Amino acid sequence: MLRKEQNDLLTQTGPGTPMGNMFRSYWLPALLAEELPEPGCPPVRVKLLSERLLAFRDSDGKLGLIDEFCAHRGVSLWFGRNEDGGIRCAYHGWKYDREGQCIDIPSEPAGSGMCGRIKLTSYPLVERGGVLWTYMGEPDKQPPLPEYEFATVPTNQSFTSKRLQECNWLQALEGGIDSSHVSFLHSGLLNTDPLFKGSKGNEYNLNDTQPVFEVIENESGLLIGVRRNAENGNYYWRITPFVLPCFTMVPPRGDHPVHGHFWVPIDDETNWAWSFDYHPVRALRDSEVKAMREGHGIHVTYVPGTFIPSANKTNDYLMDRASQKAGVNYSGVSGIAMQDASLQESMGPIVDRTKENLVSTDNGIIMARTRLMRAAKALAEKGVTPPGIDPEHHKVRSAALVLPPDQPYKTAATDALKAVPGKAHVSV
Amino acid sequence: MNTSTFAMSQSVLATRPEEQRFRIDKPNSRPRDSLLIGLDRSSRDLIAGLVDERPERRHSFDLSHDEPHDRSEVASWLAAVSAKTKALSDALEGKNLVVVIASAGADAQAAAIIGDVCKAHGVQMTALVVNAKQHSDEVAATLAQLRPSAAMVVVAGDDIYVADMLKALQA
Repeated sequence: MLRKEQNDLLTQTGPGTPMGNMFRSYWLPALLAEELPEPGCPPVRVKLLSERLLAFRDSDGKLGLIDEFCAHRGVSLWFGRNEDGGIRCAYHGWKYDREGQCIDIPSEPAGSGMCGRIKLTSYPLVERGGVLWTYMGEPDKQPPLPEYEFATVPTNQSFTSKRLQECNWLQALEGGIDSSHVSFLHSGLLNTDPLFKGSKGNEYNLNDTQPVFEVIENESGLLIGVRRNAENGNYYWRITPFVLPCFTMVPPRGDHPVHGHFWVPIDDETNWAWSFDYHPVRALRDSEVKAMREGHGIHVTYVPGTFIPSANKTNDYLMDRASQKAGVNYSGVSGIAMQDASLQESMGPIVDRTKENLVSTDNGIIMARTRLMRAAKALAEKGVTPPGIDPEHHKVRSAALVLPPDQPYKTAATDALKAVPGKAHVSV
Repeated sequence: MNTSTFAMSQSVLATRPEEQRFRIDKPNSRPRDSLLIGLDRSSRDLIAGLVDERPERRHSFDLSHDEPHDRSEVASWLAAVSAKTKALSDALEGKNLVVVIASAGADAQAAAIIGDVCKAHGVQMTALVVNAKQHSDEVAATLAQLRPSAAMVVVAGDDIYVADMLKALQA
C-alpha cells in the first residue's frame, strides 16, 4: 500500500515532477532505429515523459529530436518537409535544424535576425544497438552513453521490439519484477513457446510450485532471486536484476536468448514496453528471429503500421475462454507480453495503490518503490546522482543456476550476474 | 453510458479514466497484526521503535532469555527453550505476519524454531537482514540460517527499509 502522495510521486513523470526529473537523468530508449531508416525519411511523432516531440533524420543522416510544434503558429512539424539539413514547417515554411535552431524564415527579410532568435527545445538522439536513445535532462549533466549488453553486442546477436502499453509505467515495471505471478499467469507457456521450451530449468519450474524469494538491494537497484528445489538438496535459482529507473531482465532458459525490458513513460497513462532478446556469444538463429517477429517469447504482433499489439483493449485482448478453461492459457489471453499487459491495463490508467493489499512475497515491488522514491527525493533535495546512471550499473545479466543450499546467490553468482563481452550467460 | 459506448469493448469501457469514480470506495481488508522478532540487540532496539509507532497492530516478541549459569544443566536449559517456544506459539496466536529481523553477521539459529512455530500456525515468516553493507561473509552466514525457514528473505542496505516494508504491508 502507498499513500496517495507516494503514488503521485512515483507515477508522475512530466516536466518538473521529482520522478520526471529523475527520468531525465538517464539515457532512455526513444525509438527503434528502423523508425528513421534513412536520410531525409519521414519524421516521427514521439511523446516521452509527457513531452510532445518530433524525431527526424535529416538529409545528411543526422538525428534530431525537437519540440513537435513550430514556434510560429504552433503547427505540428510532423506535416513538415524533411529537406536540406532540416525540417520545414508546411504552413509558412519556417525551417529548423536537428538541434531545433530555426535556420530559415522565408517571409522575413534576409538579415532580419529573426531566425537566430527562434529555437525549439531539442534533445540529443543517438543510435546504439538498433535503438535511438535520448537524454532529456540538463545538458551539462549528460551521462555517458548506455552500456546495456543487448545494445552493445553485434547487431546479429540482438533483437529489440516495442509496444504501446496503456497504463502508467510503474504498473508495467512492477510486472517485470513481480516474480511470483509467473507460476500462475504464464504457466502453460514454458513447454510450448519456441523461445522457452526444452530447458532443464523448465522442469525445476514445473516440479516445484512453491518458490521462495530472496530480494537483495544493490548499488544499481535490486536483485530478485527466486529459488526452487533441485536435485540433491540444491536450489535452482532464477535471478532478475532491476536497474533504476526502469530496466529489468528475465532469467534465461537453456541456450535460448536472454531477454528483458525497459518501461518508458510516454505520459502518466501510457508507456512504451521495450522488449529485447540477445545472445551474448552467438548470432540469433533465423528461427529465433522469426519466432520473435511472430510474437512469441516476450514480443507481440501488431496492428499493421503501428506499435499497438494485435491483441489489445479494443478487442478485449482476443480473450479465449475455452483456452482458459482448458488450461492452455491461464488467463485466456495468448502470449506472455499481452498476458501481462491485459491485466496491468485492467487496473486502470493509474492504479490507486492506497487500496492494494500487498503480501510479503511482494517485497521486490515494495523495495523497488522504496528505492525509486528515495532516489527521486535525494536528487531533488540534495542533487544526489541516482543509481543506474553509471554505465557500470548497466553491465548486468540475469542468470539461472543451481547452487548448494548454503550459498548466497549474490556472491556465488557474482560472475554470472555481470555482463562480460564474449562470455556466455549462465543458464540452466 | 450513451449509445456511442456500445461500440466499445468491455476493456476499453472499463479502463476509461472516468470509470475510476465508480470503483467501490469501501475497505477491502481487515487490519493485520504482525509479530516482530529481533535476533540481535540492534534489531530488538529497532523493533521497539517500530512497535511504539503502531502498538495496536505491531507486537514484539523477545527471544532472548537468561542463559543458565551452567549450560551443562541440560534439563534446565531445555526447559527454558521449551518455555520460550511455548511463549512464542502463544504470541503468534491471531497474528497475520511474522517478521524476523537480523543484523548482518548476527546469529540467526533461532530462525529455525521460529519457522517451525510459524508453520504450525500457518503464518508466513518474512526475514530481513539489515545493515548489509558489511562484509558479504557476514551477510552470508546470517542468510544461510534464515533461508531454510523464510518464504521471503530481504537483504537491505540499512534498517530504514523495515519501516517502509511494514507500512507497505499495512502491518
